[in-house]
Order: sequence, then C-alpha cells, then structure tokens
Amino acid sequence: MLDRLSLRLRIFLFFALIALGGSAAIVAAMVYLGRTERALPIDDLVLMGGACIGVLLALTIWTWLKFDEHVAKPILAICNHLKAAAHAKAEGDIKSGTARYLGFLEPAVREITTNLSETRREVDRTIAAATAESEQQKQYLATILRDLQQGVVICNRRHEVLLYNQRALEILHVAGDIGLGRSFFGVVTEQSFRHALTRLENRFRTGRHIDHPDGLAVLVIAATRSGNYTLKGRVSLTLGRDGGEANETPRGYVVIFEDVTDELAAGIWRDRMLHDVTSDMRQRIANLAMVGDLLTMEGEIDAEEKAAAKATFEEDGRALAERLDRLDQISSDLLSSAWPMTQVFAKTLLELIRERRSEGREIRVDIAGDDVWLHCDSAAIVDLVDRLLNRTSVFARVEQFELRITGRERRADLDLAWQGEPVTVRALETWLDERLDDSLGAMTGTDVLNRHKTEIWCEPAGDGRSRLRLPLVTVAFDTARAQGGVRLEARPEFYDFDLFARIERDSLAETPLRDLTYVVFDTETTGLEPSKGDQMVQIAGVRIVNGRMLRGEIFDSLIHPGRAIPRVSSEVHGITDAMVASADPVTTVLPRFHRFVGDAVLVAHNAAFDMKFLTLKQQEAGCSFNNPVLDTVLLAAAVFGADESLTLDALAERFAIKIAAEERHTALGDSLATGLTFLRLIDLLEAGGVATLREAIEISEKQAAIRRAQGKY
Amino acid sequence: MPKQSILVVDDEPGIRLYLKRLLGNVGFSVRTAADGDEAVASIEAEPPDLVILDVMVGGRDGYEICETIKKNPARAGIKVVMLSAKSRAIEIEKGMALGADAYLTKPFSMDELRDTVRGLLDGEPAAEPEG
Repeated sequence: MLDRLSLRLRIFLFFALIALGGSAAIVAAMVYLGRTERALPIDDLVLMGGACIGVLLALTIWTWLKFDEHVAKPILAICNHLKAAAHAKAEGDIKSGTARYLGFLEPAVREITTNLSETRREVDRTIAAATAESEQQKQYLATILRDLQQGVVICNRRHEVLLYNQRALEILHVAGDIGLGRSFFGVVTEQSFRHALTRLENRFRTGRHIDHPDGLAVLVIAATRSGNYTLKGRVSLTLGRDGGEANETPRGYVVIFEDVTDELAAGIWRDRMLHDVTSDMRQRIANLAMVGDLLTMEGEIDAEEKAAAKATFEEDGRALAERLDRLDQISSDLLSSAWPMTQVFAKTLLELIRERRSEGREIRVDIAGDDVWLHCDSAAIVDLVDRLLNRTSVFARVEQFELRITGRERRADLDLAWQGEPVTVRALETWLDERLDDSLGAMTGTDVLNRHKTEIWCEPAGDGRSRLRLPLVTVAFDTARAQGGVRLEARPEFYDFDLFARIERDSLAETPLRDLTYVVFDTETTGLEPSKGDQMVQIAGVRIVNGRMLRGEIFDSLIHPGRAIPRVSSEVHGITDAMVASADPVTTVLPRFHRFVGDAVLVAHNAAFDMKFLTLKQQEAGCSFNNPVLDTVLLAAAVFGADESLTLDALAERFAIKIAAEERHTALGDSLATGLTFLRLIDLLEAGGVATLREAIEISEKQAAIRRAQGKY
Repeated sequence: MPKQSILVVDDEPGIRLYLKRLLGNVGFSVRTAADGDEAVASIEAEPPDLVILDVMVGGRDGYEICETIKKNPARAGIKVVMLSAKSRAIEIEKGMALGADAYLTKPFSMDELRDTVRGLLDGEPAAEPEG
C-alpha cells in the first residue's frame, strides 16, 4: 500500500515540482521586478518571462525524460515481454530493475509470466503423458493386429477402409490397392459382403440381433477381386451414436477373414474323390456278386467261365483294395485336418520332451535332431514320448537315453534309444492304452498315434542297444507363408477412425481441402522435353488421407523408357540404363499407378510437367488421368507471391521440412517433400480464406494466368 | 524229404480254410490256429517252417507272436509272413522291424501268397527236423 502510494506520490511530486518550480520562477521574477519603483522596463520583463519559460521548459523536459526512462520504456518492455510470453511461449524472465520506479508492476508481471509458464508446462506434461499413453495403446493395437493370423479390416458405411492389418494385405495378396479411405470393394468381390450387410442391417432394424446367437455377426464367403483366392470370414456390424442421436445406429463394420482357397480346393477334391471311389466300388462289388452267383449256380461251369471268374476276382479284388487305400487316405486327411497340427522344428520338439519330465525321475536325455520341420500336435507328442521315456526307464532299468530325430523323405523318425533290452510288444501296447495327461482329454497313446496316422515299435539298434521308433510327417516349412508372402513394409498409419464420420459430399469441388484424398506424385525422366521423345524412368506417389500423409501407402516404380538415358539426366536423378534394364515398360507401370491413384486429387510440384508425361502415355497405356490436379508451385505463389523462390528446396527450407540428401531428386523423396509442403500450404490457404478444392483451383488458375502473362510458365 | 510245414494263424475260419486248401494244394503240410495263444502253444509243441500271421488276431496279436518267435534263438529260423488289412507303409515297416520276413496286405491274390511262401522256404534250408 505504502509502495503503491509512494508510486502515486512520486508521480504527484513530479507534477507538483513542475507546478511549484514554475510558480517559484514566476514569483522570483515578480519579486525581482518589484524591486524598482520605476516603470518596468521592457527588457526586464522579457528577461524574466524568458527565465520563467526556461525554468518551466527545463522542468518539463527533465520530467519527460524521467517519465520516458522510468515509465514509458519499462511499460513497452513489459508489453513485449508479455506478448512474447503469450504468443511465442518465451520462458525468459523479465530483466530485473526494468520497472523499478513502477512499484508493484514488475513483480506482478513476473508473477503472471511465471504462472503462465508453469501452467503451460503442466499442460504440456499432461499432453505429453496422454500422447505417450495413446501412442503406447496404438503400439499394442498395432502389435496385436500384426500378430493375428486373421486378416482384419474395418470399414465405414461407404465401405471405405478405416483400419487394416498386415495379415489382411497378405491374405488379399495386395500391396497398393488397399489403403485408408479406399473402397474395400476394390480388393474383394462385393456381392457377398453386401448380402451379409443387408442381412445384418435387417436383423438390427427388427431387433432380432438381441436374441440371435450370432448377435450382429454373420459368416461370409467371398473372393478377392482377382478371383484367385477364396476368403472365409465374419462380418460384424459396428454401432455408434452421433452427437444428437438418441439411439445407436450402424456406423460401419468389421471383417475378420482368412484364406480358405487351399482348404476349399482340398474339400472339393475330397468330395469328388469320395464320389468317384464309392461309385467305382459299387460297380466292382456288383461284378464280384455276379461271379459269386455264377460259381454257386447249379450245374458245372466250364474252363472258360472259370477263367473269367478268376480274372474278375483278381482284377476287382485288387481294384477294391486300391480304392480302399484311397478312402483310407481321405479319411486320414479328414482326421488330421480336424485335429490341430502345427509345424514344429525338430530340435524344439526334442527340447520340449526333455524339459517335460512329468514324473521327476533322474533321467538323462541327450538330444540330437536334424534341421527338419515336423507336422504334428506337438503337445500330444511331447506327452506321449515323455510317458514312454518314464515307462522304459523303469522297464529296462536305464537312466541314460538318447533322443534323436532323423529326417527322411517326407518323414522323420523320432528314436528313443538306450543301452539294453527292447521293450516287449505287450508292454508297449499296455503303455499306449494308458490315458495321457488330463489336459489332453481322455486321450491315450494309441489315440495320439492314430491321429498322426503313425505307429510306434521297438527294435534292436545294434551293439546291445534298443530303440523305440516313432515316424512323424515332415513338412517343407513354408517360409513365404510364415513371413507373409511378400513381406511388406510395416505401415506406420494403419487406421484412421475419423473416417467413420467422413461426410459424403455431392460435389468434389466444394469439399474442404483437408477432407480430400490426394496422391502426391513425382516423375523422373530422360529429359525435359516429352514432345521430343523424352520418357519417364521413374514414378512415385504417396497418399494423403484426412490431412495425414500415409508413408505406408506409397507407389514407387522404375520404368523402362525404351531408350537410353542421357548421362546428364542420370547425374540429376541417379537412374542409369542398367537400373531400368529389367523394369516394366510404361504401358505396364502406368495402369498400376492409375489403380493406385483411384479417384484421388493429383498433386505435384510443377504439375504441368509431370502431367504432360502422364497424358502423353495414357492412351498407349489404356488408362486416363482425368483427376483434378493441384500444383504446389501455383499454390505457393498464391500464398507467398510470385516473386519469392518457389523451388521445392526453397519451400522445404521455408517450412523446415528435412529431405535426406540421398532422397532428394528421387521420385519418392520428392513426392514426400511435396506432400509435406502441400499440407503446410493447406494450412496457409485456409487461413487466407481458400478452403475448398474449387477455390484452390481458381487461385491456381489465376496464378497460372499471371505466370503465362509474364512468360514464366 | 518231409513236407515243409506251415502254421496259419487267423481268427477268420474262412481264411483258415482257404489258406489250408491253397497251400495244401501246392504241397505244404498246413495246420491252423484261431488265436495267438493257440498259435504259441502250437509252435512250442511242434515248430513249423513258416507261420502265416494275421496281425489283428485275438489273444496275443500278430506282432507279439512274431516277437515271441524271433526272440527265441531256437525258433528264430521260423519264417514269418504277416497278413494284415493295415496297408500303410509305416504299418508294413513296423511288421518288418519286429522281425517279419514278409508282409502281405489284404486282399492278396493266391499267386502272391504262394510265391512269397515258396520264395521264403526255397531260399532257406528247411527247419531242422526235431530230434
């Protein structure tokens, strides 16, 4: 209070000083003039008046200087400090003593900025924590989805993909054709899905889903667009509620699917075989029955009849036996396909057996295994061999065993060997009739053998050794399948649930720039003059969906130009004749790029150049690029003015976009840089009132006209 | 030279009859047993030159009878032909691993069996007569 009063008092004193000083100067002047009795000489009056004015001026100037130094300057400094703190998030403290004559102002400002900083830090910390948490959850989700054996795709009601996992790409055998915001029906046949969705929506509308055993899910069998693969899966309707809605409505659907092509083919083959074999058997049994009738007929049969009967018996008997073998094979396949068999590495299986040790006996087991993969129910085999190990140890009174897996053609023998007598058939059969571990159900060793279509026996192994031999089926480990066929790069952006709420617009032109799907692309060429025979040697593109550049959804392909690449061009983009020697020609690459683009808006830096190459070749390639096109050069000119440098390098520098040196001047590197530049330009265009595609095209055309007029373009 | 003797072990009376007639017709002395225990007793009483064993015979099964024969050094020279409806390669391998000299899968032809038996007995000297 005292300080505050003293600030006010101080200001009062300044003004009091001017008043008192001015008054004192006037009084002093009047006293001086009053000393004489004669009429006041003009000179004295002027002198005194001047002195008074001088004193007043001096006082005013001195007061102004003091005010400027101690009030105006500190207030300005404080204003700048507050502005910086408010907008630029400056953290620095106000310089001490800046406003030492302004009482509480300096500590008050210091308090405000400190509080602001602290609040800001707190907010940042909270945001960082929330971001880290959501990032972690995203990672969990990504890991789970990646490791799933089924393909997962989530779509909105317009069948646009909102989420997909790696397995979905592998099962659908697609790379660039599926992506966020793309139609799911671009990769699968739509009829069965539409049918399933109609059923589900009917079920939902009539409320039957509440009591339905499958709820809002239904089985679907479909095929990939190419028709090469059959898919089996479940479609589930996803419900959601918009802000104003009272009830949940279908927002989209989840498809979980697997590839059943092989399974289905095997099933069809099996059915056909069963049909053929059984009808053939019926015929042969009829033959045998007829011969039986002939032989048991009254009366003698002659030598010819006897020979015919013998031939029929022999041929049909043999044929029946052969058909039975085939039936046996079919039934075995059915059995093993119903039983969960997995691929297990021989050494792993042996280690699992050695570690099982269910009865805790002092048994030493040496293991050795060939590098083969076995097709078996490993848990059941481990339990069976462990049981045999324990029983044999007691039976033969041995503690030292050797467990070995030897690979042979399409099978491997699992041998359990020891020094001593063989196990008798009777003992082995008794052990095999015992129930194994309870976790395997009421399964006996014989059941396990039957399921594996195998046998076990004991035989001498030479040098007084014996062995139990258990043959198992081997498989050529399908590494391509295990790794998912063509291993695709992990995709950083694999979901975008904002697409659930994407509003369908009638007019592309009136769609906000941020809501559009783009393909930002770039080409590398043999030269700058397509009309004089220059050709593309590389084309790359990246998708932008919902304002995000999807680095996982890229197109990048070399093109065989059908002519030599001039050295001067190779020096720019680094692509040589040797590199494109085995590349596809433009007539193959362009249709692929066309599919990748779909109905997205095309974006390129200096788009006219790239579009010229595209349109010159489109007829030959049998596709046409009628998509709307935006040019980052023209958009940047609209934002920054045509006098600024608008090269990709200059724009990237302006927007602090880093391009690795080795990526610069590659079609993909430049596409990525152009994509990031374009996203920044959208922000600036929106701020300048350019919000829709139509407006962006209009300002581009204006810029193009200006440049044409200036002869620059 | 005495007739070579064959023991047929099968629980199907029809098969026993058929094999006895078939092998008897080509000059062997054939006797039969209807289950595993009877077979072992018969072998103990008078070892044959060859035993035709149905794997799935009752009592002791074919594998066990084969094992019993081959484990006894005095009887190990007796030839064993296994007959079985089990026709997978692994089942045949199991039979051979347990000491069978031949393995025929059902159904088989007369010629096949006759050739197999002759092959086994002609290639080897007949079992030494007792005493």
